[in-house]
This record gives sequence, C-alpha cells and structure tokens, in this order.
Amino acid sequence: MSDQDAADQRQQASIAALERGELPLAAQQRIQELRAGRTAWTSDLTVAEMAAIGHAGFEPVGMVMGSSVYRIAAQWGYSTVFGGGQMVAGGRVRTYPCPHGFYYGSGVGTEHRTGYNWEHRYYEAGITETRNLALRRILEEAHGLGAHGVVGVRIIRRHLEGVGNSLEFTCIGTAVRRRGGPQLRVPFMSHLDGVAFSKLLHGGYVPVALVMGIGAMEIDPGCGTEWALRSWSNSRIQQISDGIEEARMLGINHLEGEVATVDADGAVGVETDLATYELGGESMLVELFLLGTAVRRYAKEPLDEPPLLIMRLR
Amino acid sequence: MTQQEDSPQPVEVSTAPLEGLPKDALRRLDELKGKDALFTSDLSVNEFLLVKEAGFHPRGLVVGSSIYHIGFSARGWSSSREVQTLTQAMYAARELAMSRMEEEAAVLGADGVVGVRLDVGFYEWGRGTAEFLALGTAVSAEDGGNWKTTEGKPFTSDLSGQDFWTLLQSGHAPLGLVMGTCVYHVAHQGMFQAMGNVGQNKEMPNFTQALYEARELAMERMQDEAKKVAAEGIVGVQIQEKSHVWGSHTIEFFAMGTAVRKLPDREIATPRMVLSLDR
Repeated sequence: MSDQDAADQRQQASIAALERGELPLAAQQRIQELRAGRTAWTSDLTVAEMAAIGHAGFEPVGMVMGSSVYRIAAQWGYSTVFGGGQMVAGGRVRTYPCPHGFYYGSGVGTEHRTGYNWEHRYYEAGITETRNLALRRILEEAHGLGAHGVVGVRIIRRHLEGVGNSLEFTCIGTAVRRRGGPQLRVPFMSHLDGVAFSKLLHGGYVPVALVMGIGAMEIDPGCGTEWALRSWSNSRIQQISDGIEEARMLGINHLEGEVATVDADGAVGVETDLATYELGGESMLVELFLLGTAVRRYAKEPLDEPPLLIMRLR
Repeated sequence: MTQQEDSPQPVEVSTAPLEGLPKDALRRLDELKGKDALFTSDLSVNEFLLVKEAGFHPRGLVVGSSIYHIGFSARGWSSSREVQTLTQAMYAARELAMSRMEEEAAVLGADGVVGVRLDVGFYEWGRGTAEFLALGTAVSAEDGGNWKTTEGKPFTSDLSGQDFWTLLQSGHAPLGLVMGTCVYHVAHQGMFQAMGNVGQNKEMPNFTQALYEARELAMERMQDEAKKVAAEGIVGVQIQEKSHVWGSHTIEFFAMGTAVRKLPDREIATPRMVLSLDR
C-alpha cells in the first residue's frame, strides 16, 4: 500500500508541475538523463533519415514529446450563441431565411425557420490552445536537450474515449543538433521526415515552425435546406456547400496568418483533414484542420546540382 | 462444419519444463548448420542482395515464442496509475520470446538476426492469453569478423535489409533490440469531474499527466536498456499504443528501437538526388 501511496504522491506532484507550466516529472527526469549524456540518444528516425540528416551536418539528440488533454467546451446551436452563451464576436455568420415566405416567429410552427452558418470561434480557440500547450512542451524538452530543432514531428489528435468533450493533442519527434552550431532561442520544428528535411536544406530553405490552421463552421439548416435534403431531384444544397467552403477558407486564412507570424516565406507539405460531426438535431459541425511546416529561404541558389534522371529496370 | 470436425487426436506432449529449445527446433537448426547447408529467410530479393553486399550471409529463419496470461480487470479504480503487474508481464513475455529467438540464432552460430518482427497475438481459446512471437533471419559475417554483443550473443535488430546496409555504411553497427513498456490505467472518474464546468475551454491536467507520464516511462525504460548494453544511440524507435484486451482505459505504451554502436573510420558517400522517370 505504501508503494501505491508513493505513486499517488508522485502523480499529484506531477499534475502540480503541469499546472505550474512545467513538464511532468517523468519528462523532466528523462530529459535530464539524456542531457547529462549518461544514456544513449534516442531517435525515431529511420536509418535512411539518420544518414540524410547526418549528410546535412545534423545529429540526433533524443526523442522529444509534448502532450495536452483539453476539454473543449461545447455549446452548440445558434440559440445559445444569440442568447449570449458564448462569444461569437468577429466570427462569420450567414443566414438562410425561409424561402417559403414565412419567417421565424411568425407563428407558423417549427416547420419554417431561418438557417444559420456560423463560425465557432470558441471551438477554434480551444483547439489552438491545446496545440499551443503541446508545442510549448515539446519545445521545452528540445530546448532542455540543447537541440537546434525537431524533425519528423508526428501529431496525434484524437478524442479520448469515454471522456466527454476531450481532445488529446500530442506531438512526438526527434530533436536534432547541428554540430558546432550556436544554441537557438527557439528550436525549429518540422513535420517533414529526415530525408525531406535534408533535401529542403540543400534546396536553400530552412524549416521554421509547425503551422496550423483550423476552420470550424456550425451549420444549423433552415427549412429551405431541409426541404432540399428531402427532395427527390438531384440539386445543390446551398447552405451546406457554403458552410464547407467557408470552413476551408477560414482554415487556410488561419494557416497563412501563422506563417506570417513566424516570419516565414511559406509553408510546405501542408496536410488537410476535413471532418464533420453531428451535433444533435439537424445541426452539424464542419472542421477543417491544416498542418504544415513553415520554411524560410536562407540561400539564394539551391546548393545541389540538378537531380539525376533515372529509369528503373523492373 | 461442426459435423466434419475430427475427434481430437491424442498428442504426445512432454511435461518437462521448457528448458532451452524444443526438440523439433533443434532438429531443424541442425539441418541448417554446416557450411554449405541451404538457408531460409524472409528477406525480399532486394534485402537479400543488400545483406550479401554488406558482407553477411543469411543462415536461417529463427523464431521464439512465449504464451502469457495477461488478463486484468480494473473495476473500482478511481485514480490513474501504472498497472505494474501488466507492465512486468508484457515486458517479460517479449523478453522471453526474444531470448528464445537469440538462442536459436546462437545454435546456428550466427552473428546476428536482422528484420526481427515482434508480434502479440490473441487467440479465441484463451481469454486474456497472448502469444508473443519474435521472428527474424539469422545472418553470419562472411569475413568472420566479430559482430556479436559484448556478452557474446548474436545482435538483434528490426531493421530491413536496406536499412541494415545503410546503417553499416554510415558507420554504425546494430547491438540489439531495446524496448520499454508501460501499461497505464486512465481512470474513468475524471469524466464526471470534467463535465463539472462545461462552458469553458480548459486543460484536463489529470489526463495530460497520465498519458504524458506513461509514454515518458516507456521511453525512459528503453533508454535504460540501451545504457546497459553501452549503446551510442537508438535508431528507428516506434511508439505503439494498444489496449489489447483490457478496454479503452488501460493502455500499453510500448517503445522499441535498435541500439547501435559506432564503427571506426566509416564515412557514408554523399547521396545524389535522383528523379525517376517511371510513374
């Protein structure tokens, strides 16, 4: 039992450390050991990736990680929003009035109503905050190792089963160091693998940071949309098309904003992920998630000779 | 189907405790011994040619297996914690499978095992019983050089033939597979705590801590193993997360990679970028 007490105590101390903005105890301990050089370095790079970064003058220092589990507060539905529940200030709202000539509150029952598409800013903010915490922790681990950057960052983004409204955001990658390079204030981060990283450097670009864009639109269909969904003829559903279009645009805008914030020239390897969630009733949430590596040019010309053309005999 | 089922045939089973390798295994390995004996391998043609190019000859498939009971129930647990009995079982079972595979390789007189796969399989016949299987291709150095570990055992590695060649070229030699595991129970209770103040985006530190800690522990244990074999580093680390048969709240975090040591005086040639015209 005393073993269990000790484990509980340690756990409480670890949670307290997280709340103070520090890393959990196990992380602090592992980073210290790696830093002291008492143990072997670790790397989730493949052998080919290792050879590639070695060729670019880098060596692995250790695997690093940042993780956060967040509760994303969800208050769906335009009534909550317009009832003052959550801020929507500055978010996009588009209305789809009843095409049959009735309007909300005219006393014709629930059959006729106005549809709303609106940007769920609070949801977007929640996801961004979760991401920021995870990134801060992985950077802290990398900084603790005296690394210059983290390559091959893998993102785990998921809902924890059985835990209401939870979002886990975890990033894992390999911290690398350039032999003889000075310590950077903020290590760079890239979701590109080691081989792509090396190619990028030879092409005259350096990775700067992981950038993300999120666009979340709640679609509360109006009666026009619902009637169109039940129609026997093929037709374009205006409100849902608009909602998806807008989520896409918001996501891209936010990604571009982050690229500008880190003073980069652009983003490469951007991955997009479009998800829709049912919110109960007829409402749904459309979420577009973009992730890329922001890059900055450091050399006027690519350093390598042009690629050799090959044909495989197979 | 059931009508055609054969009545079970009595099978001769040795009741002696498992000391060393089963008789059948020894007989198979005997046939693979000799200098001009045939070899078996699960290497692809490309892998085979690169292993040869690296100066090694495949000797035979080697395998190790262990069956372990890893059943568990976490009823009534109100806090997140490591399930130490499961951590130990998962670790010991893999370790046992690996050591039996190494033993087979040693019988063959091999210098190492490449392309090791480490699988966990569950069977319908045993609730909570799992088979841990290690399988790879034993290889010997053609120049008779010493590639064994400091303990005189064959090296092990989960690297493919291509990776093995590249690793040697880049001035590293594999020492052995290293692993660390941590089975963690993430408490359900937090769910109700979390629902307390809906309306606000907020971190849930108890969950963050549980998942974070479990992964860190698995990585640290793997690091400790590498330290023990005096490795310079670990390459190709994979972190797997599985709930196996325990339900979604009990998760195994398993980290595994190949520990490597430095070879003197080797420098890899500068790679050249190529563009394939095939599509």
